[in-house]
Amino acid sequence: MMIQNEFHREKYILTWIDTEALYPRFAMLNMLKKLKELAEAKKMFVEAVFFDFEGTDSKKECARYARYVDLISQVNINGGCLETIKEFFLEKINDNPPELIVFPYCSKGIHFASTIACELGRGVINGCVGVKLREGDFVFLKTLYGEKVMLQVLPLEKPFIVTFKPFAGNLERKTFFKEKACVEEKNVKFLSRKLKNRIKLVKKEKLSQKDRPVDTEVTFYGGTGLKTKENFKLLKLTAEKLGISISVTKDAVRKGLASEENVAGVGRRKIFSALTVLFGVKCTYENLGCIKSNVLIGVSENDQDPVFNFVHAKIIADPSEVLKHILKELE
Amino acid sequence: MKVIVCVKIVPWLGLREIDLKIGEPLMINPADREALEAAKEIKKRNRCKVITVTVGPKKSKDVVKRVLSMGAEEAYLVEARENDFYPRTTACLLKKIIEKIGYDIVLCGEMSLDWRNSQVNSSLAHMLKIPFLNFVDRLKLDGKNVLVRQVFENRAVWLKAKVPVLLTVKKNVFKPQLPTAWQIAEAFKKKKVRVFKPSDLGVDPDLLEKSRYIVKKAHFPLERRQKAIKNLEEASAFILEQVYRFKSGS
Repeated sequence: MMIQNEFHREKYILTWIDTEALYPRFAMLNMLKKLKELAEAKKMFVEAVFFDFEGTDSKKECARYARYVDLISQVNINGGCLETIKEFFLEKINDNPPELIVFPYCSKGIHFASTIACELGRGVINGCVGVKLREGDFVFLKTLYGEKVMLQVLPLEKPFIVTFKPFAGNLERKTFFKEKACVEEKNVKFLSRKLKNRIKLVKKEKLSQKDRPVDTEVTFYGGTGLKTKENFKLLKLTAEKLGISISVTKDAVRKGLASEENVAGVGRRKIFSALTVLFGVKCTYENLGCIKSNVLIGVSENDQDPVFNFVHAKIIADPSEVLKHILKELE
Repeated sequence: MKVIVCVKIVPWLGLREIDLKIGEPLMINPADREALEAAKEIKKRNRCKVITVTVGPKKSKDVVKRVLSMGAEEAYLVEARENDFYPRTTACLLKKIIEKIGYDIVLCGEMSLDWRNSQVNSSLAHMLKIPFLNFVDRLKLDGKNVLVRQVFENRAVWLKAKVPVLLTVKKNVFKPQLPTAWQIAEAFKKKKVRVFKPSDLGVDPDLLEKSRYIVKKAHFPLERRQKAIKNLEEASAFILEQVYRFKSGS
């Protein structure tokens, strides 16, 4: 049964919704959400397959996931076994090979991923925490030895097969709980004692916008090197024009140069963006501790600043002048 | 009944290096030690023989002897070239040696310490065409049937399968016991590791070549620039280029 079937994009991501996965249901939704974001960036669509083992009509269950994917197919395999699922997938892949096949990281997911990969002669990366596109190719993020590592399967042939671990090593679970706790405050009496205590703790932490981690692709991070309030306003203006987020150092807030709402630093919110551009940040321990980005660009006047030991690209110039130039080019 | 435990030799944990080329020092993969402990538990209640199988370099012979000291009765080592330490090729070689020995239950660890890919076990089950059950928490033998328990976040399920079957043991359940000095000495003096080469097993080199795929670290999207940018126009253009590049996700 097809719920939606009007889709004309050629490239697609194939995934399997396993309601009996190792992870609870919200994890599955989170995985689908991430996949959709990825697909939209590359003009692909996400197709999900939902297998109904018991032969019951699970239209409602399907509808729950339908808003996160572009196409969802419900397959009734009453009396079928895991082998039938494998055959279904192989048939589908041979008919129209997808760009990427994603399984949830659960007992069945791991099994299917490797058996299908064996049949197709492809490689698998198990337990990914993220998928990104870099220079047109898929790059898979995985935590090895406590570090996020970008991995690629060679040869670069399609389809790539991965199993996805939505909550490993990132803060989203925490934020999910925080948000959930806020939403379900009224229903506290139905929750278990453990969760109640957790909610109390969350309340004590004084949840606000400034405590949440910055998780956009690019962040501008401003420090005391920007010198004046006006320059910080310039920083905010350019960030708004580019559609990216900004953060400021604790030192800049202490000196009254910037408002407290965007502060980031050790003990405050952290920056999880892929790229961070540091404007006038000297890069002491306090600054470095909160930046979890893969790529850093440093802009500072003084070439002896410690920031230049860590960044990938150095720009030795007045940060405010650079900002003015960027604004000019944008206009 | 033959219980076969697949053991991987991995670089020592302290190295913290992710590289497929196996350097020294080496150690037994901790998850596989737990699988060996599970095999020993089966042996306590049933008549069976515990055999370990390893695909590794020549250097790993001493480490495999340590496996013998931990309770295995026989140990087999397939000496592979450095190019053959990829999941599918390892599974190919393991399949050949396991078929040669004969098997009833094949036990594996959940995942290896170095790449954490948990690939060999499921590929091996697919190649041997036997049932595959992973995340096993408890196991019992009932005649020619195996009863296993899988534990998920909110529930536990008991499953039944006929032998031959491939099981992977859940982490931190079967805690491995350290061998005594006497056991180690005995293993090094009396027990022998049987060494095979891929050519002895009749493995088709083309098949190995086909099953080779590489998982490697991707190149960093922005290489470290040695020279600093001092020109304002160039600097603003560079920042804008990088911002748009990251925003588009390319």
